[in-house]
This record gives sequence, C-alpha cells and structure tokens, in this order.
Amino acid sequence: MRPATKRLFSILASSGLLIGAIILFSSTVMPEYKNIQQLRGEAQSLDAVVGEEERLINTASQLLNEYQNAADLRDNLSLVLPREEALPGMVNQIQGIARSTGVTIEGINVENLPLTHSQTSSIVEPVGSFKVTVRLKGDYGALRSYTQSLETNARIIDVDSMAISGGGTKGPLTINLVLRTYYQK
Amino acid sequence: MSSGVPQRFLAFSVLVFILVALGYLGLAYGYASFLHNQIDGGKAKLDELGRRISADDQKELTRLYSQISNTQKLLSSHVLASRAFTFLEANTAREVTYIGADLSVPDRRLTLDGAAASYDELVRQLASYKRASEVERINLESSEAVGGAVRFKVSLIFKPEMFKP
Repeated sequence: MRPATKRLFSILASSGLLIGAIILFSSTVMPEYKNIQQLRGEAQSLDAVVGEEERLINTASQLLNEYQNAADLRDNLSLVLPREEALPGMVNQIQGIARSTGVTIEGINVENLPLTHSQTSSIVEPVGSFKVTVRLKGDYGALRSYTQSLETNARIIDVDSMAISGGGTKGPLTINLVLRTYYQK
Repeated sequence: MSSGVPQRFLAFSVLVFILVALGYLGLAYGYASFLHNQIDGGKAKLDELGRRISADDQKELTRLYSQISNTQKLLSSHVLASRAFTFLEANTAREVTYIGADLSVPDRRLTLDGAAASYDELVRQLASYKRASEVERINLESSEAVGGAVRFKVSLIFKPEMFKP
C-alpha cells in the first residue's frame, strides 16, 4: 500500500473512531449519567427517610417503655378522657357530685352526639361526646358548688347552658343543666 | 504532513473511544449497581424498622397520642360556667333579687329575671352591670312596676374571655 493511501485510511479510521466516541457518549453515557443522578437523589432521600424513621422508632420505643411503666399516667389519662363511652361511670360521677354537694337530682337525660374528627391530623382518633341534661334542686350555695365541682371533675365536663328558676321564694332553686362530656372512640 | 501525525491522531481517537466506553461501563455496571445496592439496603432497613414496633404497640401508641392530643384540645376549650355566679355575687345591688336566670355559654348570654325595689334601684343595677369589665353588652328586655317593686328582664352578653380558664 502506498504511504499516501495508508495515511488516508489512518485519518479516516481516526475520524470514524472520534465520531463513534461522540455518538457513544451522547447515546449511552449521557442517559446513563441522568439515570445515575436520579439514583443518587433516590438513595439520598431514602437515606434521610431511614434516618428520620430510625429516630422516630427510637423515640416511639422509648415512649412506649415509659408509658407501659407509668400506670398512673395511663389511668389518669383515661379518667380525663376515657377510651370508651363509660356511660355508667359518667352518671355515677354526676350523681356522686350531687350527693357530696347536697343537691337533689330530679332527672338525667343522656344523648349520644356524633363523633368529631380532628382537623389537624388523620392519625388522631375521633372524640365522641354525650349531651347530658340534668335537673337538680337545691339551695344557691349547693348549686353553685355543684357547678364548680363539675368543672373541676377529673373527666372533662363542659357546661353548655343552665337555667335557674324558683328565685325570690323560700323554696329551693331548680336548675336545668346541659352538660357535655367526652370519650375517645 | 509527516507520517507520525496520522498515527498520533489515530492513537488519540482510540484513547478517546476507550475512555468513553470505559466511562459508560463504569457508570452502568459500577456506580449504578452500587447505588441500586444502597437503595435496596435502605428499603430493607425501612422494612426492618417497620417491624421493630409491633402492630399492637403501634395501635397503643396512636391511642396514647390521640388521647393526649384530644385532651389538650378539650382542655383548651374547657369552659367555667360557674363564673356567672361569681359575677352576680360581685355585681348585684342589695335591693335587687333574682327570680330566674338563663345562661348560654356558647352565646355568652345570661338572661336574668329579677325584681328591684324601685326604678332608681334598677338604674343603679344596670349601671353596675355596665361598669363590670366582663360585660360586653346589656339589653333591658322588659321592666314593669308590680306592686311595690319593679320586675325586669335583662340580658347580658359577656366578653369572650369570661368563661375561659
């Protein structure tokens, strides 16, 4: 082969190889690089999720251990907001407070109201409530004391309304109380 | 052109081609595999973490969290209706008696049915309500002289903080 022909072939082969390298780079290396970038992002975010999850699990485990050891906390929380309707207990408390403050219960009506769901988090279990209407008789001091005792009762009781009648006479006062008390469903 | 130039050009082209090919192989079969392994490891760790707390414990924890959260919310909206008694004790004139009272805590409205010794006494009573810092608005709904006394019906609207703990 003549040297000039040989040089020509050599230049053509070199150019072909360079063009091939450019095609290879743009058709395989570039897409693979993008894929690698995605994988790196996925790996980094997964790493962050694992770290956060690990932290949460550790906190949750610690909380569970403390909670299981703290029977008082569990009992107190269940007194404030029972995990069931606990209707007999609620009537018993209303009656017990009446007995201790010296008022007479003439009637109790209980109505179960619809559950209310928390707006802030879907994890939080809904709260149920009872509307309790109580008709009582007693003197002013006893009725006042009764209302105050309801407000400071362990189980949360809110007074929605009260209607007092019988003032200006020598007889006892009559009070109609509409209360609201709660439980966790 | 000397004979060495095309050969060097060829060597350079071969080198570039090999580097590109090696770069691809390194990315596709080296680094990508490493990242896949890392992701699989992360997923396996997540699964393992998910199993570390049993379903019962998770439920218990949710209930505990709900109880605390709900209790906090209920306590923040807890009302003290008995403050109406304290208010009346502090703001009732000596010659005024109440016959009936109707309190609506959500409306912050207290409607009083009472009797005053005279209209002068009723005016003093209304002025006393007006002076009270807890009262937002007063409305004298009716008054009537009956016998020696004045029967009246008045409604008081309290300020929002009245029944808050």
